[in-house]
Amino acid sequence: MSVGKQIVKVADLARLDLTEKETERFGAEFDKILAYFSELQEMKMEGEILLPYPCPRAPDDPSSCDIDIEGLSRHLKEGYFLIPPWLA
Amino acid sequence: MSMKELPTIAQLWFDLDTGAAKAADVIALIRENVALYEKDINAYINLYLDEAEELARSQDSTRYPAGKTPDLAGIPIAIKDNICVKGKPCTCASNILKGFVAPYDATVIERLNARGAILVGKTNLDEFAMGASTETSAFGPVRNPLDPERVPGGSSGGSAAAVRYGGAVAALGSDTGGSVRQPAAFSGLVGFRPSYGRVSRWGLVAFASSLDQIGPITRTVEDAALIYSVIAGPDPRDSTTYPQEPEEMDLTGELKRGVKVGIIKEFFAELADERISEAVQTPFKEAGIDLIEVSMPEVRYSISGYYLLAFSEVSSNLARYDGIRYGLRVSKLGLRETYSASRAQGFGEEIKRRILMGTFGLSAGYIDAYYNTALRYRAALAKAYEKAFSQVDFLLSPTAPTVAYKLGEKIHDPLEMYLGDIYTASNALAALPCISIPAPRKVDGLPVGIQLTASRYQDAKLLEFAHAVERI
Repeated sequence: MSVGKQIVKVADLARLDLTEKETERFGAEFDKILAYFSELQEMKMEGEILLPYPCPRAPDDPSSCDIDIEGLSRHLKEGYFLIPPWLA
Repeated sequence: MSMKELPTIAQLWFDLDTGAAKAADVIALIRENVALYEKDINAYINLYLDEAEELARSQDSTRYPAGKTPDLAGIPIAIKDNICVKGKPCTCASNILKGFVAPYDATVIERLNARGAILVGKTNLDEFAMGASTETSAFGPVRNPLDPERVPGGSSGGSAAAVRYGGAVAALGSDTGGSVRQPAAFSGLVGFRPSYGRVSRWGLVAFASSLDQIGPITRTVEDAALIYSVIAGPDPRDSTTYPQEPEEMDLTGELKRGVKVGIIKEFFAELADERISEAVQTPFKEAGIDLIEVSMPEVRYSISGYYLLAFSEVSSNLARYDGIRYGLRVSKLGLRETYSASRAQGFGEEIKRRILMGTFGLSAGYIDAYYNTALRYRAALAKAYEKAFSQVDFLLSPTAPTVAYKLGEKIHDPLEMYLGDIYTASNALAALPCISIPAPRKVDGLPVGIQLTASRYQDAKLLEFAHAVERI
């Protein structure tokens, strides 16, 4: 099955509403782009899938982040971030 | 009226240090250039000229002992609008970030501020830095000041255009697969992408995290080196930063004897425009530098490898824009429906295309054929580059296969647009430092970029060499 035909499923996975026109256009483009990308299969490559460079530091240290909590305080209540109601 | 020529950073620093110039006067020149060009060029999303003037006046009234003026004191700089500046909107040129104000400064902004730089404004870009022509911005396309019928390149097209028309002395852009180098090439400027890990990505809105790097767009290599030396260095908030401070540079402008410059055979064999190939190679031949041919068949696949990885990271990184946490919301009955409708309305066409492709490439049944294959390819490519650098010191190529093209010429054919990244994707994939500098010879009256690549963390050596090449 062409990838283009799976576009509706992929859009659902990506949480993205598509119009009929978009579904048609992206579907056609995908087949063309993926056909081009399939050239990568021509290369003989062995197992390794690690990044080609080390990430030398320890994990990020979020405590050094100086986000302006006071500036955000209007959104804070009892330790939670308030967001506007999303129900229409 | 015509454009008011701005000094380079190096000139301006000297004049400010000796008292021969005033920062506020430079802001006044920028104001004139903005009044003259901004309406047509659309380089900026937000301008902060009044604040800049105020800061410039305060810099002007500060007396530093001679020679002790901070590196960038009073230097007006433009910042790509995907880098967070505290208290200012950060739009990423997308409708989905409508109303979002950055609650903190990116590390690069902290570093620029600490050295006295002045923010002129936030520049226009392809939406979320995804594009090569700055035509996908929700704030309208940017035009090339050298020829407004043509694109400025992208995705940092606003940063390049602002520097080109004298709307800033220098700018920061971000480069994932060429977004600093290619607009610099299309605009006759210098664009430098440091080694991955040299500059902190903290506060840069993520596009493809394993590839994104911040880099300067300037008029000279010396200016690029000055900005680089300020923004580079380890950062505990970005675990991918290299733990050592960048090494000292010696910008003498002299070509070292015996320097070995290589050209990748496959790149030049596939180059359609002979004139670009000549414009790139001639200065080296004239300077008596032999170009050593190296073969790297792996680079043929770099567009596929690059885009498969970038799309996958896009689909993951942009999942956070759900209509709940940031900016635009389209309220529907149901959380999932709210997500899908907000994303549909908030994202532009190219973003949707990339999210869909990435979601597909990561989905069960396809991840090995696409994402994992691209990861294996990247490892193989990095090894091939390593081998090439055992034979040569630097690799030479064009920055782009064409000069600046006309607006609308490629935007309707995504694959054609992606193929324009042929020279800038592979070295980015291999995490290497690379720079675009203007070739002395133009093609069709438009600038051509010479791209030089060095091995990893040889940023200082690359800048020293590029500085010497610039003077040929």
